[in-house]
Amino acid sequence: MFEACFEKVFLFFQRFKRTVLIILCSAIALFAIAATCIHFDNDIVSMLPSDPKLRRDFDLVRGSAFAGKVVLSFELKSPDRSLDDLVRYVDTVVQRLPGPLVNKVIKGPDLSPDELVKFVQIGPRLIGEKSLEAFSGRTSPSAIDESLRSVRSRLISFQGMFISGIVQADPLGIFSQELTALQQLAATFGRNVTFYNDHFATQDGKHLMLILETPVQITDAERSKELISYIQACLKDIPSYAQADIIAGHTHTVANESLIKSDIARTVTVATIAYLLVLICFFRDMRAAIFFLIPACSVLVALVCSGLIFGRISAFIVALASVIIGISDDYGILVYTAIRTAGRRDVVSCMARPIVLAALFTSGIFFVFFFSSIPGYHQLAFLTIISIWLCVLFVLLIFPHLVTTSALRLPRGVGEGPTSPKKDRQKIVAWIILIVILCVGAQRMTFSSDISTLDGVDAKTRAGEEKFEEVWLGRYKQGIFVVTAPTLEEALTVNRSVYNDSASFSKQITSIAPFMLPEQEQKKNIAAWRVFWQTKKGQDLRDSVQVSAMQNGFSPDAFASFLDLTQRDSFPKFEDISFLKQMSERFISSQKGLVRVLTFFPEEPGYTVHFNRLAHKYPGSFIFSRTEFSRRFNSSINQEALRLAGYAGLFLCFVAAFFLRRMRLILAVLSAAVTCILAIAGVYGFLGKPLTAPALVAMMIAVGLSIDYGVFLLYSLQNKIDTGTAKAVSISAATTLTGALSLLAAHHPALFSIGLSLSVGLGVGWLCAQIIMPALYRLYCSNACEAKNE
Amino acid sequence: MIKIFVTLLIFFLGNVVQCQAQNSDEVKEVLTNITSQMANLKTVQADFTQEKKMAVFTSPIILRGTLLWEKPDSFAWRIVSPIQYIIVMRQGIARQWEGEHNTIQEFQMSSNPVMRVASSQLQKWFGGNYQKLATEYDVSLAGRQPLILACVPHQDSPESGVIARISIQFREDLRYIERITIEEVSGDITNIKFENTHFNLPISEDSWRIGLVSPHV
Repeated sequence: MFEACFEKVFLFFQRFKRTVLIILCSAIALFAIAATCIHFDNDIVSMLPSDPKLRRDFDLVRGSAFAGKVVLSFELKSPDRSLDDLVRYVDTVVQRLPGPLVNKVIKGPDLSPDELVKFVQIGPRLIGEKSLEAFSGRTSPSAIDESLRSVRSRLISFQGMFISGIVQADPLGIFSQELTALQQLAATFGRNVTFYNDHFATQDGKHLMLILETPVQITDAERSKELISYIQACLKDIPSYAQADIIAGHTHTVANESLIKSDIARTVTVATIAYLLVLICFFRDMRAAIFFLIPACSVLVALVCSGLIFGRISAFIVALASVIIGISDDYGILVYTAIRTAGRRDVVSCMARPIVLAALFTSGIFFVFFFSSIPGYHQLAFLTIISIWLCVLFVLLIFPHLVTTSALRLPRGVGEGPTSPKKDRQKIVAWIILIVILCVGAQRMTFSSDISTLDGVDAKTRAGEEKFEEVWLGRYKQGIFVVTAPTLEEALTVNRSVYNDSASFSKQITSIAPFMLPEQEQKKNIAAWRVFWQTKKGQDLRDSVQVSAMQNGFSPDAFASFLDLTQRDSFPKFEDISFLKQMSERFISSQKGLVRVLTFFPEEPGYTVHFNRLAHKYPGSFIFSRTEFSRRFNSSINQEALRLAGYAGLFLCFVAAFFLRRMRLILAVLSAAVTCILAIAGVYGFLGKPLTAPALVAMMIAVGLSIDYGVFLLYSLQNKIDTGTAKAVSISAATTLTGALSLLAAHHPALFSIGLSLSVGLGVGWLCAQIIMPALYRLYCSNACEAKNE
Repeated sequence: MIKIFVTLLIFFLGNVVQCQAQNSDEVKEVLTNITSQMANLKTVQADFTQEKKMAVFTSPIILRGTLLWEKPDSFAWRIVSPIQYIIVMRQGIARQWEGEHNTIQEFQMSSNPVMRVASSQLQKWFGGNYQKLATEYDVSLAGRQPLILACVPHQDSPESGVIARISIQFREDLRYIERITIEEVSGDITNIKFENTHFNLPISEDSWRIGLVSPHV
């Protein structure tokens, strides 16, 4: 039935060969033009599971101080030089850096004496009735006299010249708590961070940091390279007493790209030579090269279809799908070998069923990706399935009409030749022993979804980053408490309550709450301030200050700025203090119509319990922990992989049962796939290497190919016509394996991982399909099949 | 007439440039000379009289006290009258004692910007490395007998917001400072005069403990 239908369609295409070809070429040209309009998405979010908590945390990570930015860490190397020398050099770099590739250079907040005096002037907005009451208790004439004598001592001490403005603006220390808390703001950038002359510095006084904002996306390899070269050029004249490290995702992109490029160039060269050798030595027909073009054209068409359905397509998925669709090369080799072996085109009708079944198996594996919670995987499934079936249609209906039918003599394929039941049994015993050994190894296998293990960055950059973490962050794990609300006012109100509830931890947590109060509370505080100074007590206090100032030798105007503050009606706003405004960007952000206010705390059990309690108390707030995020991310990816692998297994069994119907045949066909999986798991287990995400994708390719080989060889065993399938499978596997083995020399960890997985899985799966599957068929299936046919 | 004017102008400008070049070379030579003289210093102990003219006070304040300095970065500044105040900076930590309230405060200099800036200035003025001072200040010769250096902080430096000019007058034997005058941007002036200066005498560990600094050296 299937063969009869296929024959009709095949003959139709044969009759209108030229017309079909013209239409096809025109269509491909149109699709190529349409492909230029596709919007590619570099956003990694499409590759994340749709767990809302995970996505919410991921958004937060992306909004962190260093995400997407470039950090320059400068170290003072010579003991003969001071941090001031480094400051001077860094300032010249700050002047030089801005340009098309660097939008903004942040060297640190301006905590100059003038700015601190301005800060004192917003003080009445920050302290409330309670603080004023507490202050009121320390305002006896003797206490004021003592304060002013202390001010006198401080002013005439050697550091007096640096603090005179602040001391004159707040001689009674009303805002001393707020001024001290300012230093704590630095901790949001890392435990060891402090401010030094408007710069971020380490507490050991040996390092400075610059944060650069750049329009260059981390995923843009070409511009990342330009950016890094540009920064290196700006640092070219670095003095011998200093050293600079560039910390940026862009350096990883550049390093990975150059590594991947050289690895891929080698692999492509090796694979191309292997294919050319096949064409020249075996096929001796350059037209056979068309089967290399089939997958490429299929991807093009599938890409445009995906673009129409999904709108934007993930660039990661396109890259992944293009690799996977390489599987389809084999269909071309199989059909080509069958036509040349049989010497006629209609032999393709014998190949249609196994090719369609193989395509069903392979697309079935990808079909389960539609059940994934990762949106990117839906695109992968769609793109891969469409491409595979376009390949199948082209290979079966058009390709045969383009190749010569002259007879071809090919060398013997693996496993071909005289066999006997004894030899077959020996092969099966050896296979069972191999399975047992691989099972032992497979039990030791672990799975790693840690992306950093796939990073091909060089040792120098990695060392620079490790040093940065140690020097600036102090190996300190920072938890973040996040308040979310529809408006800034509401978010600040909750944030203030959270801060008040955490009073016992106030020295260890870093919050903007003491400096950025809700508008309502500020108004209340200002009102309380005015009332306080308008009362008789306030007026008396002012008089006491003036009297005591005179007694201690201060000039009449010494505290004019303070006295002015007590009589003012309006006060500067938070936004008027440039360093506070700058720092607020670290604490406040808005996204998707919600305002988020962050509080930073040490990620230690006591704090976590406390903030967890607050997260329950204040709806819309939550805790972000990098450790927890990483754990949840890994677990989510692992669960996803296991779930999809389970579905794929079930789907394969279902397709095999539906088409092959007999248990022994199903087991024989799937033996190659099962051995392939066990081989990869076993080898990874024995090597003690965790299976990574790229290795898992490579495993899927190897499983798909192993099933294909099994199906092709099963049908060739059942077929009475010689279609040269064993030879075609050997050639196909040998060429693919050559490419895979060349990846074992790759320097990039991800490519090496793919190479190892492909080489082992494909090597073992192929040998099993070509040696074990026929033996199983001959021993346990052939008699039953023949009996059934009779 | 114009020709004569232009010729004279060129002549005078040429002289000014030449003088500046000569001056600059001379300053370099002097700084090298002082730095090498002071390179042998391991410790300094001196009494000082400090006169502060500050707008915030009605009359000048005269302070008396002692200075201890030990290479590379130990520094003690003790005021004995009219107030009692001690600050000791050693190994990155500053400890301050105010006699008025008998309180001791301790700071990590690295985490206290004011202390760090102040201590870095002290190191520059009293530390003896005047060649380095020239990288941060515009240094000129304000006098030759006695030798006086006039130092103006570079405009982009953090101290330029506070300090307008510093004059450092050296002893005749150039072994140490005799007088230092700090003019602030605000108009305040501090004048410190050193007397009874002793060099390279051992300083006991106790001297760096706050409250135990000897009033007389």
